[in-house]
Amino acid sequence: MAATDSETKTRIMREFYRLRAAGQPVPPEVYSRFVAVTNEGFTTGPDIGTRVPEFTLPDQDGRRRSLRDLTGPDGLLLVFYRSADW
Amino acid sequence: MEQSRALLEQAGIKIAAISYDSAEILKKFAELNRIGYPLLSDQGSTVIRRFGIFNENLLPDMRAYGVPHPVEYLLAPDGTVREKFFVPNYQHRVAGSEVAMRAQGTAGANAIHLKSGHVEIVIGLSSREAFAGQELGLIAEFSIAPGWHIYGAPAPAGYTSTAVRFETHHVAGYSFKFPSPQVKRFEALGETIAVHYGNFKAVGRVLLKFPLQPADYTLAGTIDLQQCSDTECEGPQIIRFQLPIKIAPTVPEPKRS
Repeated sequence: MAATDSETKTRIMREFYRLRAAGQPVPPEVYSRFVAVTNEGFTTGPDIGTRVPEFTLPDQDGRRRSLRDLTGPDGLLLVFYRSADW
Repeated sequence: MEQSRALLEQAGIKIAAISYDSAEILKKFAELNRIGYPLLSDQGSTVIRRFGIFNENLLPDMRAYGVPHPVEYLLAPDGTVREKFFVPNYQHRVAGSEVAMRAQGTAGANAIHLKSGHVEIVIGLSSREAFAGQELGLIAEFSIAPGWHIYGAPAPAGYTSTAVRFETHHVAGYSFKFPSPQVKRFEALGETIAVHYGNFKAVGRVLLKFPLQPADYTLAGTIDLQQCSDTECEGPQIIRFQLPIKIAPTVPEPKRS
């Protein structure tokens, strides 16, 4: 699928958010256009067989966690997800 | 994901999850949902960008700005990517059960049992329930009676190699990987031939179509194979199967607060 130009993309996303904010029903075609443009250029990051970048981030209890201390004896399932809030 | 944690931990694999939420939001979420694995706060999406999975489509004033393209990485202890799981749609999530199934390598409770001649196959999807557009794991456990074999690829001329296929009614794509075949020398034929025998597992992926109306579906498919012993051969077979799957309604977008 060809990339949508940024003006069209913005219009599609704004239309969806306007209806949501107004508490109005979102027609299926508006939703599916929104889904399509917000998932354009889907990338999946480091390739199989390569090492992922090191990082240290706070967990839900505020403790700093590194890749090394998160990993179990046979590895780690590292999940990137959209949000815990919505 | 929490449901799959015990299975993964038995396999020595821990879970951690990263989002752009604050630690306070993550704490509430973890308490509410009794999450027992680390939820990491990547406010500002620095790590998300470093992984190269920042969603560039959204604009800075939108609530979703900062989200990643959702990808799950199964990492080796040294941080090398063993496998990646993703559905190219941030509104959806990969079922944790798929990952657990791959790590544990069992066909699960919703598997179906097929038997034909000297071959038994237990085939199942990683989940009973999924969203349209989701990718599911598929596993098939083959048990072949002693003295018998089926063919790997390429099969010798005139023989059928083993293959799993899905009808494309609800399925957008699939792939299936057999273990490397054994090489067997047939003295009578003066040939070496790639065969599968004994007990082995084959794993694959099935990508569901998008959109699909929420309902109960069956994913129909076939397994092509030909079973032979050293002295006799049965004709090529097509074994049909139907795997049940429930398509759940798409996760509604919450209202902006």
